[in-house]
Amino acid sequence: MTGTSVSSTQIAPPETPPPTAKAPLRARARRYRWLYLLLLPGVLYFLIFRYLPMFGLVIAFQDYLPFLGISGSPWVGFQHFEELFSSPDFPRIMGNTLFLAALNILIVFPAPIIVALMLNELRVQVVKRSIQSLIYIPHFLSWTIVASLTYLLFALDIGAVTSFVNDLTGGNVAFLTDPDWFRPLIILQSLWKATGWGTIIYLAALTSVDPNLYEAAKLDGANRWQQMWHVTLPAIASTVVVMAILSMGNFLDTGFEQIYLMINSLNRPVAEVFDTYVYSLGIEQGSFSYSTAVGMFKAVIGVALVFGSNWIARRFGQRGLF
Amino acid sequence: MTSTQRQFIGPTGSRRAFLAGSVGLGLALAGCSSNEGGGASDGALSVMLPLFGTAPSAKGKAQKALEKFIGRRLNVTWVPAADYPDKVTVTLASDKLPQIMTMLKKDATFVRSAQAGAFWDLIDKLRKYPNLVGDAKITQAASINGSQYGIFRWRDPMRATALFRADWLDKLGLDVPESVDDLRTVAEAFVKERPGGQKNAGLLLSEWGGTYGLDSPYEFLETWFGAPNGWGERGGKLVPAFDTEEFFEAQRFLRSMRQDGLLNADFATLATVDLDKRFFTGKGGITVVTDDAALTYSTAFDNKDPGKGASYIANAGNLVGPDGARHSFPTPGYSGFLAISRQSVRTEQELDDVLRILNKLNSTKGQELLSLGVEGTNYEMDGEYYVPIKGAEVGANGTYSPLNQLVAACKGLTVPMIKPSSPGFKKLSARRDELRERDLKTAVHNAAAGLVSKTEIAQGAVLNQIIGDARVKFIAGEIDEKGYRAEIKRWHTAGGDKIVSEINDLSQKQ
Repeated sequence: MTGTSVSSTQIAPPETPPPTAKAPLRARARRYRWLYLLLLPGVLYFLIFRYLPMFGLVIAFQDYLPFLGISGSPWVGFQHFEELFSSPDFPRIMGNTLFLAALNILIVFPAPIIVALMLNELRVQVVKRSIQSLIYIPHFLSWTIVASLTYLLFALDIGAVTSFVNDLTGGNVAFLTDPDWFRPLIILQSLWKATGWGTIIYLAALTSVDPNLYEAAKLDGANRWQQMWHVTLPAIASTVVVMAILSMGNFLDTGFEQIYLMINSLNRPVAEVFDTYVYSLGIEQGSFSYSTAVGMFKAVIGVALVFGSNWIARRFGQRGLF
Repeated sequence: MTSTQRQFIGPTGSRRAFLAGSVGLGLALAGCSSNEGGGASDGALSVMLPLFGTAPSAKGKAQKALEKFIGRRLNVTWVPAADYPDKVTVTLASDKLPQIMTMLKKDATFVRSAQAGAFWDLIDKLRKYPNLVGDAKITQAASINGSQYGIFRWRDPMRATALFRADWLDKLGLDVPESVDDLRTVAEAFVKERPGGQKNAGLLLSEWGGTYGLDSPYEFLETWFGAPNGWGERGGKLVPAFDTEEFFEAQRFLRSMRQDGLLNADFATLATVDLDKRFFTGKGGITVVTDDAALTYSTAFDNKDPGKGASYIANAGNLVGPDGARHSFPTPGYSGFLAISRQSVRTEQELDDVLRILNKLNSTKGQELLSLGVEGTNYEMDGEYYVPIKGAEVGANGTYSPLNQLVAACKGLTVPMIKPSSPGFKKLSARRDELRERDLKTAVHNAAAGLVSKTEIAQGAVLNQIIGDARVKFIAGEIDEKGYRAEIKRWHTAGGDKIVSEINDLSQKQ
């Protein structure tokens, strides 16, 4: 790009030398004023819709009552947090949440990478594209529909899968209420719904791999497997790391809707997680302050995990998120 | 809820209505944005009502007539029924409360807001308004520890029943059951003989068992077995129903039915709409429901067998327990309140003004305008029944207008019923009314109906979950008697003991 074409945008007139870091702030602000103006809507968006609502978190330290409002509700300090940590429910809910979160990271997170790699090996473009389109359709279905389908397939006596399995094995498995089957069902649902959609970003990353690398590898005698291991995977590693760090932020978000739809009296011991607990406390019992405290605890863990995993990624020589 | 709707809509109704995101953050923001309702400044009466069906036009003839009748404009904020509790919270957090807010039940939000001064205590203020004064017992049940934070909305006091497939009973030569033992016998016959020609589950029950305190079929059965309705006196003390042996007997009864294949195996997860469907399609022959279902069920059968729908339903009413006595399960006698905001109705004078209008709205004429619209325009009378005029009816499918949510009718509804479409339906209604009268004599009332414990408000939902879960687990055979009793004990140690002592203290003060 030549200097003249840029100067017409008034951003970087070539006649003035770029100011050094020592130039006064005002001069720099003046010089880049249009860029700052471009930035403004984004900053405002985050301030108004992301940071301002955080003041609502003060209700975690109050005994909040909607009618009295934030200014009128009494302060209770850390009482709600103390209650949470000393609650007999806490270890069970924490355990359930961590278990599901770990399964998500171990099974649901790598699935799109594996599928993307498999799709990448397909030669016939038409097949590849149709599979890609077909598997990401479930992403557009709501959890309500996914749960309804699950109920249809797995309901006792009338569900197709249940009848098939029980007739075949002579057993009497109640998939929807058996605590042992709760987690497999949740993971199956997540896989079905999210895998196809997740492959998109990895397939995009795969297209940016330089074909010359494969040629070079082939000349060196690398087979398909070795090509994947030594060329493809390193090429998409940074994408994987970024996605991993981002998903750590939602580590404890086990998906309220999905679990709430699948929970029942019989599987509750393994199914109750923070999201559903907050719902029954906050909405059904009206304990807004307590449920906000629980939500805040979850968010703090999320932030810690993002920073932690980012730090680890950088230690291992990856670029990380920031 | 109109009286033709089932009473225990409960959390299942809102179960599929989701609330995404953080509760606290949402509230903090919502407080600034809500602007509905409006004060009294423009002379309009502002009300907030839950909406079942489609909102009637604010400029329609029915509403115009209503406004002329009360001499005020009517400013209704309609909120879809499924979102109503959330909207109440948000509205309370705003600074523009409607003058009249419908509160659906004595939940934490209502009780705590009322005690913090959100609504007028009407305890000594209603005497002047004859249409707003009701039965003393219901008034007491609807109060909160001696305060009355709203005008209760009257409902039929007796609605629990067991329904049987009448055609199946006939086929097998069985009588309409009188007792819970008969219910079991009939279920055995239904399952074994398959009078419908296909496999059926006998008794059908839904996922409601997992939530304690819904006034659900499970609680009907417990009371039929002799357990208190909510709270009862045992040894001079008030105890929760699940502390009694009778309550446990009812669970044992259901557990053995389930073991013997006389109860649908998926009772823990079966949605209530699906239960109805199974009954219509012959996958079960017995349900425990509110008695209006006799009419809704037979209407559904009528679609399959025109004109004969009513002959498929046998209404048994409350069943006699194993002790040989009938213990009927009544409703609380009301459903929700019309609460008057102290923020938008500031002075006693303004309050009198609002009460005067409400009094007028609950006169016979007012109730008709609210429920049916204008005679001659929206409906016509045919004897004691009303007939909606096609194309001009105020409620969808010939039901009452959504505005009838504003009917308190503290002395009982005076609105006529819709004309039955066949003599069979007329007979069913008559049978229902007869059973209601019979069962009301043996009604078991909640001994703590007007009492609200502080701990129950703070922890009730989480604690009651223990009871609901234990009930379902025991019936399903997942836990044994020892495990069941351990769960009841857990309720007590996790905070229930406090509730018991608070309720007993409150009851002594009264």
